[in-house]
Amino acid sequence: MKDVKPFFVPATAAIRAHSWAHLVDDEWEQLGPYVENWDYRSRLRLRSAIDADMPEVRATARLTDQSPLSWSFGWRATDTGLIGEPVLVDATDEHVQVDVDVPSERAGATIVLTRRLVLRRDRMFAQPGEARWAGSILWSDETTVRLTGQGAAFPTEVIDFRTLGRDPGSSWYLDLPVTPDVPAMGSMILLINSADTALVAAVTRSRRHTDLQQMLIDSMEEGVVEEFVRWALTRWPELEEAEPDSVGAAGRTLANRVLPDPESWTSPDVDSMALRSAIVDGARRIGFGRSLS
Amino acid sequence: MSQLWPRLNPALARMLFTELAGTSTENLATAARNEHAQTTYAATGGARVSPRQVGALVTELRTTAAEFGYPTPADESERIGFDRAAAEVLFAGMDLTTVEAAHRGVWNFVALVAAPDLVQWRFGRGNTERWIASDLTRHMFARLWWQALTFAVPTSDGRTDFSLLRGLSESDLNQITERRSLAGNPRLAQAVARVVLSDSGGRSRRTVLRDLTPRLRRRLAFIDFAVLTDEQLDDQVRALAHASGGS
Repeated sequence: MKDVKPFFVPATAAIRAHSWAHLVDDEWEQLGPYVENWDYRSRLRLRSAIDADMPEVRATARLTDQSPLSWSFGWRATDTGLIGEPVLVDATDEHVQVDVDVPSERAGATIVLTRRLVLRRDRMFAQPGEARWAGSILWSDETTVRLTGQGAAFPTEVIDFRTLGRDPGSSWYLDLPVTPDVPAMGSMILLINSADTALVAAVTRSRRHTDLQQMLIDSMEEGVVEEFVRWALTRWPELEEAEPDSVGAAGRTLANRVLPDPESWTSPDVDSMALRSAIVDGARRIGFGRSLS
Repeated sequence: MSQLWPRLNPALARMLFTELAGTSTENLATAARNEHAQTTYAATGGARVSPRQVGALVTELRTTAAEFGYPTPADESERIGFDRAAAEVLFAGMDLTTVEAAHRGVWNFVALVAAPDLVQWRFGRGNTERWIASDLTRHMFARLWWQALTFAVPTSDGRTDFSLLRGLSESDLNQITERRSLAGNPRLAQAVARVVLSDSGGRSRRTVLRDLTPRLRRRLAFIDFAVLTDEQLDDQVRALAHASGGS
């Protein structure tokens, strides 16, 4: 859905934002979707640049009265919602480049980098349709970066199943909550039996898997998707109202991606094998499990 | 260097929660441990807390609780008094990064292994969210640490002023901290607290906050409060409170 603001905004062609860069071993590299080897002691050093035709920005936003505008470069943590102190630069020049530090003690497992053009002072005599309040966001973009590596996308833990009272000969167990409204983070976890040393070796290795390790991971991925989709289907009507970021919302999203028409699979009389086949097909289509191509 | 605390996964947490059923507060205190064989830690990024450090914090929390009636059942005002005091103790005693403090396993460990007696005394067993962390604003200890982080105001002499937190009621805190869009910006949350604590224009603070928070959330869609000065923040929040019939 298009973000509609209650005031005029600059023409998008008047602003060109460059890709974020981050400092790795004293060299600036383009920032990817996640930062490798980040830990709580790592200060993330970022750089961003924006080119803007400021007369055009002001003309199209109807702010030709020299009201002070600033570029704001900031971030927020997605899991806690915590917002970092933004770096502010007066929006006067055609080109601006800014370095941003994300302090490790206040970061999050995943952060959203924000760039905004904002009004700095209230405009008491703003005309209808013109930005009036200090802080009004005239333009913005966002970039999501995961700081704790790809593995953090799904909470996983290796544990001795005997101590858990789980079947000691099984390899993994997807622990899902009973109610769909609890936050996804913290309420679902993939437990891996430490006794399955081959699977543990496969999931703890981040790259260059052997064929056997890749097969074990593919098989587990297909199984996890199947379990999560089945969990979602059994409570499908409830998930329509699920809170954002809840496990219910995550389950609904996954089911919608995997199955063309999830609701048609919610009948208690559904052919279980046909459902399994449809889920595995859908999971493979979106990149989980084996690829036959 | 920040601390790394033991983490107890949700499956183990649920198992422990079940095991502890029917145990009295006094027996839970006896059963409390400063470590657990099945806990894990973040791989890197800080110094692991020792069992002795865990014990020292829990002892301080129990001493604080005793000031409010622990271990005998406490009334509402004693429980709230404990919450405010314990938030400061917890925040000072757990040197956590926010990533570590967002990890539910840390709070599962504190509640179910280190200090189950305090959870039982404060909340009983009626609500598992108080014991097993899912929503951080609901868990017995996670919510206190995050409340302290949100309302901690550094002073010029290097101390931390918690007077805003001390002044807020449970209902006030629920209305502010359970909305991440407000609590995620501590300066905005503090501005809201300052405005509702200063004057409610004859209306209850609950009413003022109930009217103010949706107005603020609507404005968050197109106003970046993080770029405002403290004075601008207070002005905007006060104007919205005034528009809703408050101060």
